[in-house]
Amino acid sequence: MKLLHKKAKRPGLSLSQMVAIWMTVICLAVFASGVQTVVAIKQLQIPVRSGGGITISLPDSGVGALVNPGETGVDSGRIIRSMAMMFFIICLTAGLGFAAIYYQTVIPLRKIISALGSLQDGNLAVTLDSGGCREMEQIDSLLNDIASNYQETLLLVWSHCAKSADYCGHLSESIGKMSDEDRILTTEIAAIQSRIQEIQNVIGGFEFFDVSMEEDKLIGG
Amino acid sequence: MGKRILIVDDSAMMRKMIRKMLMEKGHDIVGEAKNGEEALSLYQELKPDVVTMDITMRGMDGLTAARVIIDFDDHAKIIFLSNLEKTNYSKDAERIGAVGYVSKSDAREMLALIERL
Repeated sequence: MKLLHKKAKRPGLSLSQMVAIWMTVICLAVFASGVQTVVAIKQLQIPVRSGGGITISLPDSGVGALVNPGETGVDSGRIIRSMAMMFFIICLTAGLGFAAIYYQTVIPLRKIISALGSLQDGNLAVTLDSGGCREMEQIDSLLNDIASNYQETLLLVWSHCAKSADYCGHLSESIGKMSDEDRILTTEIAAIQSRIQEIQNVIGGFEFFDVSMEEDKLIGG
Repeated sequence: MGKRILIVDDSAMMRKMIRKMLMEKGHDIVGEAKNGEEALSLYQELKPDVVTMDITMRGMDGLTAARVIIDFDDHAKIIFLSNLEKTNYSKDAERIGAVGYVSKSDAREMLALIERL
């Protein structure tokens, strides 16, 4: 028999891996388009006249007039199409890469900033799951851990305060049964209780994850 | 004789505090988990003698995790260690089949409880 539990979330790509993939795809796209363009240019027949160096003579009608589609099967439109395709592929790859990085970093970062704002306001109930790349997941996890640390520490202090206030109450009652001279101590004890209450009030100003304070009790949910 | 203990708590600081307390008494901390899902996985893998379990955790909470562990292993020894009101939750702990419930503010009571196991 196996314990039933959800499978651990598969870690996403890291930012450096994403950038590396993006750059590789762009390079491949440029290379492929470049090869296609070079092949097209090589297939283009341009008349060359030698003498004192190589010069390429272009008729007034331009490059298109130099090509004889019947002989080469290539026209100048092919070069233009290749270059346009290269431009399109580069733009598409760059756009997709930018979109991927935007959704994997910028949007999660906005969620993280919003969560940090909540933490700053004392909301420890915030649970961050911004999604995004591996680094963002690590930030989510660390921020949740920080919130948990604060919560547990504050609740522990609150519990100790509640117990101390309780002890003070018992002490006060015991002293009340003693002589008048000893009763002076009750004022001191009341001052201590007041200080304890102040600490509890400060802690009570926070919002906690899945815990609420009811009178002198900590209740889940 | 020291026990092999799995600590389950979402706060790293609390885990550290509990670990220090248990190790001072010669217990062996075999693993630490920060939520119920991790606890299930580590329990199955490590088969600890005792589990100290927090209740309030992000992800699967301690009560649910304890229920699943006890369903899986009748002999599992789980001690709840939480800041939540003892009078309310010790009954839940008992109902689930845990061996005890200790308030974090009285965490040292857990040592005596472990000794008795």
